[in-house]
Amino acid sequence: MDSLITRPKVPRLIGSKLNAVQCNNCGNIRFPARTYCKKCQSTDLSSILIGPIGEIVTYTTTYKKTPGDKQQIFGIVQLYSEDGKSSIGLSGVFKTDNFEKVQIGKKVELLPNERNNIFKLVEE
Amino acid sequence: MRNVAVIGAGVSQFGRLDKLLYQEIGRPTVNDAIENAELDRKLIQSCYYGTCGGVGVGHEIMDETGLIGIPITRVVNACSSGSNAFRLAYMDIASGMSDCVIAMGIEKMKNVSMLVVGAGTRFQIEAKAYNFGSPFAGGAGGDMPSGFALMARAHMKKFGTKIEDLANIVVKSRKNASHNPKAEFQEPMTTDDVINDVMINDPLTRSQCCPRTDGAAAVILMSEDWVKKYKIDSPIWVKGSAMGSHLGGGDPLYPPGISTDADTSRKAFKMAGVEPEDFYNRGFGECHDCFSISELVHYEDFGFCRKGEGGKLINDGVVEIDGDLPINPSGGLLSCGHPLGATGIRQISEILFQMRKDKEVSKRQVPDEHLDLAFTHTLGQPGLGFTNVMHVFSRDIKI
Repeated sequence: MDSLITRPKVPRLIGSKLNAVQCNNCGNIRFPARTYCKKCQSTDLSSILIGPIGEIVTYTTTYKKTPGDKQQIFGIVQLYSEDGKSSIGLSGVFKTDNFEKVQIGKKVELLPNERNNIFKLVEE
Repeated sequence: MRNVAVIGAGVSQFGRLDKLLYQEIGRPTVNDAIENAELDRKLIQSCYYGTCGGVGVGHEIMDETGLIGIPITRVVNACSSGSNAFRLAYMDIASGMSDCVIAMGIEKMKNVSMLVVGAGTRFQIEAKAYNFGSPFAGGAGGDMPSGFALMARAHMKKFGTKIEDLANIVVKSRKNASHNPKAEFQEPMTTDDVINDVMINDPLTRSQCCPRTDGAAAVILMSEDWVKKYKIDSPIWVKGSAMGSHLGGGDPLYPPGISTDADTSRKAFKMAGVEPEDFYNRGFGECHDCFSISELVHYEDFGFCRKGEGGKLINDGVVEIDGDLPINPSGGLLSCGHPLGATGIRQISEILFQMRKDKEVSKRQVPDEHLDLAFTHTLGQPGLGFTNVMHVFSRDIKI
């Protein structure tokens, strides 16, 4: 049974960087990490750290839902590796008191949080 | 493969049908389709039905309509459940297995939770961590409206699409639905009405999001051999059928659109032997306008215009009923509503009614010169996955 588990026992984040894997065969990046590449099925993988700085690709503000819901702003951020050669998109919530400061293209930083993806604006 | 025709259709009232049982919605719909086809029900050999919430309702409805005993297959594929059921019915006949099949779709949305569709899969396990797919599936505080809102904002930024362009899709939808007594929303709206409606996920207001609606639809399919044998009047022909899939992963945003929609439409058009431009001045279609932005990106993904030019099609009147390429003459999902299992079959019913000029659509009739060719399209999201289904129809057996 244990041999079927393909989730390596690694933390999701190292500091506030995503602990991803990159396929040495086809270059595909996978996060959360797995023991195989889903594109080419290779098991020849290397660790790669992504983030924590990225750019906002798009965002929306949630206004509705049930009376107890909190209004929140979230979106998709493109996070890059240290050398800038690799990146992945990640959805998450923006932590800010001023929603109007959230704009496409603005730089954000992923905060260390094991459960949720939370970003803060780099210059606020 | 054998030629397959659609010969009859029935559509229930769409709306909040809380007090009705599934069979109370489905039975008259199936009977309407059989009556519309002027068919002896004993000829029906098989049933495929799409529903996300209605476990076993196909058996109950087939029993209530005197059809129990035939093979009955339930199809669950989120918003594409109905069109997927139709595709299986088509394949059943095209393969030579059957000669007459009913495809049905039914939903009571109170019984459907999109959140359990992917239960136990990666959706539950790592939705919050998964890159890109999660906004559409509920991760990171997101859901369907927010996922499409993200797409809308990215499209506006990249191509300069305006909120008015999105609102005008709803204006067209309501205008067409004002002539569709079975639509949930039939009141016309102005551009300002749409923009100033209750905000759901900016930039999408309430009327830019399709409602959760109850309803059913059914169509009867028949082989060419039997169409001739039973001298069926005015069949329409299935000329293309294609389906695609992907699992989130960023495609909806780069560029803003649904990449598998483009692939699926190309396959369906190729099978039918047509190009996107063939639909201009000759065809029409029903597409999956679950949100205003989705209809706009579908124009682009299907190749009806270049990327970023979807707004021009709506603002220039191209996609109006009297335009060069009418889209969603029924009012689409935005006005008819969206009972997940029924939507794909309702769209195909609209194509049949329009091509045959049935009295059902007399007040929203697409002009005669556009009735040669038609398409239907759905986009479903079971869990983190996407499922696209497209069909192409023609009035004559040869396009």
